Amino acid sequence: MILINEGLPTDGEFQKEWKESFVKMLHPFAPHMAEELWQKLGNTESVYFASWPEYDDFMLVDDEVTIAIQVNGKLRGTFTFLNGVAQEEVSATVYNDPEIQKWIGGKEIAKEIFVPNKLFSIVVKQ
Amino acid sequence: MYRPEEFESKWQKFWLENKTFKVENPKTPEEKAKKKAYVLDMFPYPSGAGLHVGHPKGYVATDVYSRYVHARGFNVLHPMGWDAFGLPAENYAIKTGTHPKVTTANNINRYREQLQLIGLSYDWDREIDTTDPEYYRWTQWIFLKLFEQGLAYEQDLPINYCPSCKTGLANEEVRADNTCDRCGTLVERKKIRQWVLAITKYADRLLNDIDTLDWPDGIKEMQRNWIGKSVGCEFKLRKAGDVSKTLSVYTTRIDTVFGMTYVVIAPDHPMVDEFVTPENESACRAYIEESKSKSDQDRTNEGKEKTGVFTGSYAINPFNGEKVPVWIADYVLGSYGTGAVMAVPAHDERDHAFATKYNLPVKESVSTGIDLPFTDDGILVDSGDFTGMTSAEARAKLTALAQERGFGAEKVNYKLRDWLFSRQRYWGEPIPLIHLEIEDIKKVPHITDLSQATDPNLAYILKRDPLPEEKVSEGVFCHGKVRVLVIGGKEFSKVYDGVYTKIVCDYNLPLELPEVERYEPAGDGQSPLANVPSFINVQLASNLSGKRETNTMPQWGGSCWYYLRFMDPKNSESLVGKEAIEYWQNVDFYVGGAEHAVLHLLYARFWHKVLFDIGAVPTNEPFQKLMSPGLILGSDGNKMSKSLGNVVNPDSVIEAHGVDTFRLYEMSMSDFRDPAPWNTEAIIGVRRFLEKVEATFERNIVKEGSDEMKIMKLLHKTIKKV
Repeated sequence: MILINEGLPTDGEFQKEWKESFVKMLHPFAPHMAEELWQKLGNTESVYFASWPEYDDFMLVDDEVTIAIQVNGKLRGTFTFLNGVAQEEVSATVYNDPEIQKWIGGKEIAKEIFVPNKLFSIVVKQ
Repeated sequence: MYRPEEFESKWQKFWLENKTFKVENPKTPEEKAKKKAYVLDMFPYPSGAGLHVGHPKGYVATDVYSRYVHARGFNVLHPMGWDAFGLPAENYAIKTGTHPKVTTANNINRYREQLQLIGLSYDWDREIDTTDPEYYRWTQWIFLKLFEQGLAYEQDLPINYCPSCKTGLANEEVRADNTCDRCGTLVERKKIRQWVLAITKYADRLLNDIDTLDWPDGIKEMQRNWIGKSVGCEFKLRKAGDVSKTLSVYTTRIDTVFGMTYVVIAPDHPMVDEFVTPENESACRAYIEESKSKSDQDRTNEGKEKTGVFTGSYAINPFNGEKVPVWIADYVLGSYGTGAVMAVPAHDERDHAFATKYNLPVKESVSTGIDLPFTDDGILVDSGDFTGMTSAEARAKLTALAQERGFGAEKVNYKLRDWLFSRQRYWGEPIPLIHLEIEDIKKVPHITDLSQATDPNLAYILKRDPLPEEKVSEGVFCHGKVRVLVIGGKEFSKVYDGVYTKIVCDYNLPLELPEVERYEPAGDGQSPLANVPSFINVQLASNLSGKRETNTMPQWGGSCWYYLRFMDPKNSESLVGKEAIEYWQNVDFYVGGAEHAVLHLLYARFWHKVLFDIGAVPTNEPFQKLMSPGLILGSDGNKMSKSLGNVVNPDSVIEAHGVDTFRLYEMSMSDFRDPAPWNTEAIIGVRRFLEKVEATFERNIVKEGSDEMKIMKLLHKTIKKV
């Protein structure tokens, strides 16, 4: 359902892969329609003999990640970074952000906790 | 536009013509190395009403699964067939004179068409029909194996008898209100010669192996309860005043034995006459007569008021020497346990109700502090040397004491009864046995060496003494010394030389049903086959004739092993070929209604274990994984029924929206195992989805500003999820 709502990819190669994989997945549930679409894609053999589509682990990885920023345990904002971003880059962005600065306000940083791709937590001395 | 009517039937035709779903048994080592998946639906009884809405849910589920595992590279065995013996076709034959064969064939054709309309991926080349002689020859063959193993025996049994269907019914076919499961007539009790299968000999294995099955817990528990194993103590009580007469009782609560205030024996207990005193004779006789008309269910039904009568005699509790009165009451069954129970009103609901009604004493022996009866374990009071012990401790000590003193022992008991395996009807598999007269057998020449059996027209008895030990079984007719009956120089059957009826196997299978003029059972409860002399009288050899068995098998026979036949349906040498069974093994995924939890599913497990024991199958269990589809309810949430007017006919849905919508909808109705109400609006939603799919493909719909990579990633994520 989600897949159909997003529409087709425009690139020819991608579109072919998308369509074939979709029909293969549709087949067990709606075999008549799957056969019909499979034939229209230029296949002569029944979709029954097509093997199940494989997924690529690489394609399962998201490019962008959203990292939550906490100050003294409270959520103070979220930032989008590239997948696998280093702690240094996150802290450089966060400490320069005026919104976050409001909560730190020149206080001494006691501790930083970094959970890759997920969380950056700052503990300041009150 | 999405127009399923334009292509769905086209593809159904395509699949049939091209045998798209045909699967061959592997022959080469490479083919045999391929992984297999045996996906099976419980095959239907093809009734005149056609497929109902309850059927397709399971069928669609196994079909989706079959197609999926096929795409994953498995060799998929997904067959369909017909469990076609049974009463409806026969009752129809009685009414109209139409041969059940004709009715059955018509119904099968209708079912097959209906199933093909749902687009199910069955290999129709493997279709089987339990009423086909080429199929039932193997059902008969298995019966003969059971007979040879001493697992089929004759017994005069008080059976549940339906005066309207004119046939015996298994306990499972009698409803709680003591009416016939098929026609609703009040069931009577009648003693009749029956064939019984000794399923109780397999009780322990049937129970223990439940743990190895990937089945719903509820069904496993139902089988455990049905087998009903209990460990208890059986002990003897002597009759007061005549110690030569004893009664055996069985109890799982020997810890309450000091609370015994009376003993109950069943009205059909063999010792009844020994205990009834002359003063009580007339009352007891009347009571016994009255109880004969009641069924087991009726007698033990919890809601029913218990009745009984005092015999006038007393028995002695061997644990404390107390005298207790002996009563006759029909809430105790002669066929269960020993047919006699110790009554402890303080610690048993039923005994308490009975004691209250008849003013019998109530004596506490397990400490309570709450109102009696107290039926849980506790600490013993007023129990001699055992006072102060826990119930569990006392059970062990009291059983040991009984054993030590020689008046009792530990005993395992089962609720499971042997399986009544005959019907006095036409439309069932004939039982391929022949009854011989003792006088006739005596005239048959006895030989000691097979080479002496020179004349093929004569029968001989081949003496084989002493017997190999494993051939001696405990069956009713297996006493005495076994001889082999030889006909035409070939070993024909075993003959049991004793005081019992001589019965031999007819290995000339199939033994086909004869044509009859009338399908009504003979009025005395015999099958219509008893009216066909050409069927009954059989000349085994020129010096030996016999009479065929006229009982037929119940409907359960054919369904006990059909899953094996699908592996190799055309084999004329054996019920399933070695190569085929070695590859397919057993059913990997079995789907069908939970109503079969203790009937078909237990019977089939029993037969499978017997076949395993004789080396016919390599596996110990027939169905590895089992699932039951949840009921489809009416849109009002009630069970679909004509009287509520909420029945949905699958045909009308298919006609309006197409099969794919129907399939997709049935698979999206909440968890497959849960009941779910039919929802017409949700069907429209499913149809919209398919319409959208069609439009997307047809018009190459692309969304403005959509991200190429994002869509492809979504595709791969979806693949993983599905």
